[in-house]
Amino acid sequence: MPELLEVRDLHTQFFTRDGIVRAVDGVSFTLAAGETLGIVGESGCGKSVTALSLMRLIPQPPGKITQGEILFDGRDVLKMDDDEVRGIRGNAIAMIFQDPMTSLNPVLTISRQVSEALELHLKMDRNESRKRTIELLELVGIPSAKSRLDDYPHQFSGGMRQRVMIAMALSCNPKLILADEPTTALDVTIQAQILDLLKNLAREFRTAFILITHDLGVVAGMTQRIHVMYGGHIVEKADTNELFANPKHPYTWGLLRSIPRLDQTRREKLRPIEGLPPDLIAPPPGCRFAPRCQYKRDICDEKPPELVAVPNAKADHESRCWGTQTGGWLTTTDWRTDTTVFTKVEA
Amino acid sequence: MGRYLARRLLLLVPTLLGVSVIVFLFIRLIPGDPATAILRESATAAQVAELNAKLGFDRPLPVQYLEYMGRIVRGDLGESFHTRLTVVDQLKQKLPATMELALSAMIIATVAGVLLGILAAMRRGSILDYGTMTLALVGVSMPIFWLGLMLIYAFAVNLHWLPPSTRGEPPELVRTGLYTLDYLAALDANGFLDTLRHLALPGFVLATVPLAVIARQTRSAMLEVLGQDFVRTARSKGLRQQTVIARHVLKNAMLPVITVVGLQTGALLSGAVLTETVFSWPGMGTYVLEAILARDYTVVQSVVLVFAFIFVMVNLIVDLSYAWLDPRIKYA
Repeated sequence: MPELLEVRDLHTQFFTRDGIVRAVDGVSFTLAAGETLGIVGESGCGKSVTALSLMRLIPQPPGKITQGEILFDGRDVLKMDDDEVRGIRGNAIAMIFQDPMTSLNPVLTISRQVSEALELHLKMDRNESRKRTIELLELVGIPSAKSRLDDYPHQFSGGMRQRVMIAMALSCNPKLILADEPTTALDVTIQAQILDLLKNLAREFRTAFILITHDLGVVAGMTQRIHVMYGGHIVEKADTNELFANPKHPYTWGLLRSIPRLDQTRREKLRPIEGLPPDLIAPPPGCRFAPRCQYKRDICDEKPPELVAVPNAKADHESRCWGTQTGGWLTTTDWRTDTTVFTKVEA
Repeated sequence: MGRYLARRLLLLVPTLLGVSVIVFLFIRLIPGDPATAILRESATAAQVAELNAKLGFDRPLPVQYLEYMGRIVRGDLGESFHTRLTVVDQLKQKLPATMELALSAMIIATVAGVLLGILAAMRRGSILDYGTMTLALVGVSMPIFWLGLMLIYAFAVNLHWLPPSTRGEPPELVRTGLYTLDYLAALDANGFLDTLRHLALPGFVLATVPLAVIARQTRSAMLEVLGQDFVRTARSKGLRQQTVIARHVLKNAMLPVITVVGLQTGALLSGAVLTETVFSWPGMGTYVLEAILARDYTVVQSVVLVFAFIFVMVNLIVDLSYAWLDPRIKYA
C-alpha cells in the first residue's frame, strides 16, 4: 500500500523567553491511505503540536518547524507555498479540535461555518453548499438538520457541536482527518457516541485518521496502530492489539497501570506515574523517561536510546528503551505480574 | 425586543430628571449670577438685586425648578433672558452644526481607529504596531484646544491650505442643516468641497481622542479574538488570512469596540465645546459656552438636557447593536 503520509524526523520548536522548547523532537511515522493511527501521551508530550505541524498551523512566532519532512501524497508540506498549504487544509487534510465549545465561531451560523470549506475548495455556490451542509449534518446525526442550519453554536449541546465539527471536517472528503482529543471535553456518555461516529464515517469514506488522546482507553477499539509519545519523542510503536497485549516501554506500562479497572479490588489504589513530564527546554540527556522510570539503570541517564525493534514481539513493534531492547534487562518482564511497581521512585 | 425598548425609553424619564436637578443646582453654584453678568462689575448691589428679582431668580429654588420643569414637559425649552431668543429656535440652527462636526469626527475616528487597530494587531510587535500605539497615546494625552490652535497655525495661517474657522457659506436652501447633505442635494460640488475643507481641521481635532481610544481598543480586542480556538478552526479550513480576519475575527472583536465608540460619542459632546470655541464653529458648544459665561441659566439647563438625551440615545443604540452583532445576546 503506498503511504499517504510520511513524517520524517520532524522537529517543531517554540522560541520563548526562557529558551527553546523542543515540543516535537525528531518524530517519524507513516500512515497508509485509509489507515487509522492513535497517538497517545500525556499533556505536553508533543502530540497536538505534531498534528498542528502536519497542517502547518503552528503559530509562528513563537513556534517553528525547524527540521524534517512531511510527505503528504508524495509532496513535502513543509516546502509548499502558502497557497498550496491552504489548498490542502480543510480539503485533503481536515482537523477536529478538542473543545467544541470554543472551536466554533459564536457569531456565525452553523451552515455558514460548515459551508465555508465547500465554497472554498469545491467551488460550490451558496445553494449547493447549503444542500450539501444539510446532507453532512444528517450524516453526523443531527436531528432535523434542515431547520437547524441557521442556528448558532450556542443553541447546540457539546456533543452536537462536536458532530458539527466532524461534519465540517468531512465536508470536502479529506484523505486524512486529524482528531485532536475530540472527546476530552465531552460527557462520558457522549464520548462513545462521537468515537463510534468518527470510526464508522472514516470506514465508510475510507478516510485515514490520526486520533490524538491522552487516554489509552479511547484508542483501544478505534485505531489499527498506536504510537506512544513522551517528551517530544515517539517512545513506542505497535499494532493496537500488540501494544495492549505486549507493551514494551515502561512509560506505556505506567499508562496502562493508571487505567482504573472494574475487576480490581477496592483496596487497590490507582497507580499514577510518579514525577513530572520532562522540561522540554533542557530535556534529560539520556532517556527522557529515565527520571520517572522505576526500572532505570545508569545507561538510561547517560545515553538516549533509539527507537528500535524489540525482541519477543511482532516485527513492527518498536520501543525507545535500553531495558526492552535486545540485550536489555526488561526483555522478559511482564508489567502485569511485576511486583517492583509497588516501590516508589524518587522523583 | 419591543418591551426592552419600551423599558429603556421609560428609563429616560428618571435619567433626565436627575440630570435636570444636577444641572439646575450646579449652574447656580458657579460664582456670579445673571444680573451681574448683564450689568457688569460696576453695577451696585441694589441694581443687581432688582434685576435678578425682575428675571425671577430671587424666588426659592424649588419654585424656580418646578416652574422650569413645568415648561419643559410642555415641550418649551425656554428662552435666553439675555437675547430673548428661544432655545428651540437656537437649537434648530446650532444642533445641525454640531451634529455635522461630531458625525465627521466620529466617522474619521471610527474608520481610522478600527483600521489602525487591526493593522497594529496583525503586525503585533512591529514598528507599525509601536508607532500606532505611541501615536494613540499622544492622541489621548493631547489637549485638543492646543492641537486645534497648532493646526490652525500650520495649515491655515502658514500654508493657507485650509480655512481657519467657521462652517463656510451656508447653502441657499437649508433643508437638513448639515451643509454637506444640503450641498449634495443641491448638486453643488463647489459648495460641498468648501464645506468639507471647513470641516477638515475641526473634524480631525475632535476625532483625535476617540480615534486613539478606538485604535487601542480595536487592537486589544483583535489580539484577544485572534488567540481563540475558532480562529484556528477557520485557518484549518484553508481560509486566507484576510477572510479569517474579515469573517471570523472582526465581528467578534467589534463588540468592545462598539462600546467604546458609544462612550466616545458621549465624550465628543464635551470635546465639541472646546473644538467649536477654537474654530468659531457656530454650534452647541459655542452656544452653551456663551450661555455659561452669561449665566444664562435656562439655556444652560436646556442644552445640557439635550446633551443628556443624545447621550442616553447613543447608549441605547450601542446596546441594541450588541444583539445584532452577537446572537447570544437577546433582549426581552
